[in-house]
Amino acid sequence: MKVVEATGSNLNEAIENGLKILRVRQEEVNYEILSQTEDEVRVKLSIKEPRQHLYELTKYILTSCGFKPNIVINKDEKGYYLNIKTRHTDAILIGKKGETLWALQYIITRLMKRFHPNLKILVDVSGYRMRRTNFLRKKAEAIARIVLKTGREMALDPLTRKEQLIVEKKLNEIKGVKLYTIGKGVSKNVIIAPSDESK
Amino acid sequence: MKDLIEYIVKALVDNPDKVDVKEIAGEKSIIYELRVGEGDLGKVIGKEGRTAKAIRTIITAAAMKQGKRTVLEIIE
Repeated sequence: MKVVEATGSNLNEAIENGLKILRVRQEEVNYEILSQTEDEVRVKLSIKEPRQHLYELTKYILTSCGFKPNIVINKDEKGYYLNIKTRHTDAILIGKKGETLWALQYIITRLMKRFHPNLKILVDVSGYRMRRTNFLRKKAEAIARIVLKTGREMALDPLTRKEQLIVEKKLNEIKGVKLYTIGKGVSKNVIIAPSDESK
Repeated sequence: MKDLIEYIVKALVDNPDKVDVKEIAGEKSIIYELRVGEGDLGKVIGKEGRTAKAIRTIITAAAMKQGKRTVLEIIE
């Protein structure tokens, strides 16, 4: 439901009623007056297009948390890439191991999905994801080289599921090494080992 | 902050009218008491507690900026 019609005794009340049905804030909609008499106003509210909606939603979440964000949204074939920049508070927004960033990503996608079900969104803070991905790729490659040279297994630091996928993808390009994990939960560790064919 | 919690939760539940957030502010910590209507508890907690965790993480980050701790209690 992206469009809703509502009535009220004046314009503000009509908009207010419509917002209640959609459960959004006024910044997220465009409105149009359908009819207006002395004691009743009828309005049509429609949700803004994805880019604008994404911007207003993110801005609201962050400003009500006390941050002063600068939000840049880019669109490519993979979907929307949303980069948040703040002054001196980026570390808080990323959190330990990207925990807060994950939470932001989750809440933003969850709220956007109500109106734009097929939208792909990637939330980032000051390019953290990009940096982390590049770092992990380089690290995986470097360790794989040592493993190939020495023939001994080596462990990586504990990774999140998504980080592990990045490492896996990179290692698939390198011949002679394989990857397996030991442990569970927080103590789960990724091991890079020489594969049998290289022996 | 209170408004934000209310906004997020209202967007997720079936009975937005029954959502109520109370803020109890202490010197070093803030407690948010979130009440939701019958049957909406699961929607707020989410799969494996993901939604509740995400809300908690965001408010913790916001409070950290002011040097405070937060607790979010969810009550049906």
